[in-house]
Amino acid sequence: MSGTAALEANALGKRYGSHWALRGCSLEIPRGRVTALVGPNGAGKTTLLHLAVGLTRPTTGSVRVLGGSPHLNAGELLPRLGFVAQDHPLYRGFTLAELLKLGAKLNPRWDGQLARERLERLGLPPARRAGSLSGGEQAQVALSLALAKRPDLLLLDEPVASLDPLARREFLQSLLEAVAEDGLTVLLSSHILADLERVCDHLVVLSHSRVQLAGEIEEIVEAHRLLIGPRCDPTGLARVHSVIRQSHTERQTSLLVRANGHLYDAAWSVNEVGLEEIVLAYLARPTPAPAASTGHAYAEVAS
Amino acid sequence: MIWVTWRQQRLETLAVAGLVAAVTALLVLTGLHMGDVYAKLGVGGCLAQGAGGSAGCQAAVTDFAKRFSGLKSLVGWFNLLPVLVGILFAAPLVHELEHGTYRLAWTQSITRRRWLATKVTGAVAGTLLATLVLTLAITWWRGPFDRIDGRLDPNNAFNFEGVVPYAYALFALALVLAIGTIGRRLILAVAGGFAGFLALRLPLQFWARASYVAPAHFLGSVRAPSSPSLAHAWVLQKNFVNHAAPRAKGAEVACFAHRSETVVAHCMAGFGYLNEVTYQPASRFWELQGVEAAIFLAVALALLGLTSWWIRRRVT
Repeated sequence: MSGTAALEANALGKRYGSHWALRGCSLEIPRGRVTALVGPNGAGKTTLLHLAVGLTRPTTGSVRVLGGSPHLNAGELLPRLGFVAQDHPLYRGFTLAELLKLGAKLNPRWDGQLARERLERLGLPPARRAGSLSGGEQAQVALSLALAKRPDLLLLDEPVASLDPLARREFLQSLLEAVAEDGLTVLLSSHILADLERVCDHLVVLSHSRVQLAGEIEEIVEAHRLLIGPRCDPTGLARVHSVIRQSHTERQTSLLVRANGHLYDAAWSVNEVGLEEIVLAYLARPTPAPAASTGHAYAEVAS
Repeated sequence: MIWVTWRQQRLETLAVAGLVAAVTALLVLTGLHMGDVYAKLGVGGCLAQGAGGSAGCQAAVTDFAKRFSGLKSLVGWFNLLPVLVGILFAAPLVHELEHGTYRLAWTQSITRRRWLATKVTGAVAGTLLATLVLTLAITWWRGPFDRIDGRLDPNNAFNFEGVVPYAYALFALALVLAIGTIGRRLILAVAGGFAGFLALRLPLQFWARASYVAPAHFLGSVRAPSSPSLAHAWVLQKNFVNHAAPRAKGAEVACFAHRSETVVAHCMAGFGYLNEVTYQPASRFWELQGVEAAIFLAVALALLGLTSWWIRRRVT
């Protein structure tokens, strides 16, 4: 399995002083997919991505990216990775032409034409200074620089967090187009789920360094149901299916369950449920489920 | 990476070039004028006569020194120029860390080690080149003063000439890089660079420099043939001692009415006094320069090592 994973973390931990930014994190990101890494602020998403591109080194455990170690094999690995850091940093004093020149000077696999065409399509003239661009435009430029590296794996850290809804949509649209053209592997982190569903086909939910949920988005949505029925104790049902969230009113009980096989019970009305609600239910769980916290959560769904 | 380094320190390079050009222009203009006055007053000829020059000659030397003392103390501030140059060339790297653009730079295809090596090389090259021009200009400008006072004067020539300016500049560069890498604040690094330079330079200058090499000692009559030439030497201590006479009788006080030190010494010798002098001979200029430069360079290298380690292991 490790041969097919784009990114593989094993008991990965990073400590800053006495604070663990990431601790005991084990997960796999499949190749050829667009994976959303979702979790609340402070879940360790940025740390995980920084460990993956070699910006920082693990305190404990290990991470392998495209089969190599980000800090031991930096020379071979860096040309194959595209990275857009949070807040998409650019040299503000550089013109766009100079940023492209920088890309050409520092990357052996640089595709200057791709970068120029992208900027042209965005209506950004080469003489503009990066510092004079709007946040959305800067994000697009940063994405163009990362794509022009012709990476095998593209990592984006909260690429849309600072963008307004329109810019967010445009950014994800242009990401979608690039992925469709190249079929490259993408891992993007976000603390907001809206719009991601359109772009991503794989999901990893991270909370307190633990994988709460991982799998193909279609399968996840297919496996979860919202059950509503008269108030009762769900213990019997929980023996067969996993109850992710339960809430009770005086007369009514509603359960969000992950169905184990066929789910049919005349006592309940069975409803489909959106991805966002599923993710929120997993994030709201007080303690990580044992199955998700150990081993490779992504295998859990595949099996 | 060379183009990137150049592009990133272009602004600082232009600032330094402008600074160096302005300072050099000022030095050349005033230096030419000073040379004229030096020739007109015949200071050079007077100095050639040695200590025994005529009273008129002594007056010419004093006159020259007096006339340009204001300018000389102004140029004294130029001692901070190499430090300023080092700080300016360190700024782009600190700026990169402060503004988070290193995350863009380090995820291109070159390793962090090469990135750092190229940037530091660019900064060091710029610093050394600017310091070279400044040092050449100041050394030329100081020519007349150096012919009068020598180059060991601890508050003057020594700080401007020889090899120490390069060591000062590299030390400032390395210190700003180290503080900037750890603290990631340019303003903090710049302030720390100046403060750190003064914190090392001033104690060394006032307490350590005189004893980098054990000072020479002389006890004897100034009339003795073995009496050393103190011209251009750095005199640390100078006394008249008289072991023969139990108490001074008072008559020799009249000796101090003379203006020339040489005449005073000969007068005192007439009363049986011996000269006791602790000094660094003028010939030790390069020896003392070497020690001071080595101290600053050693600290600079240690700071660069720390910066390199920190960037490779600690910056995230």
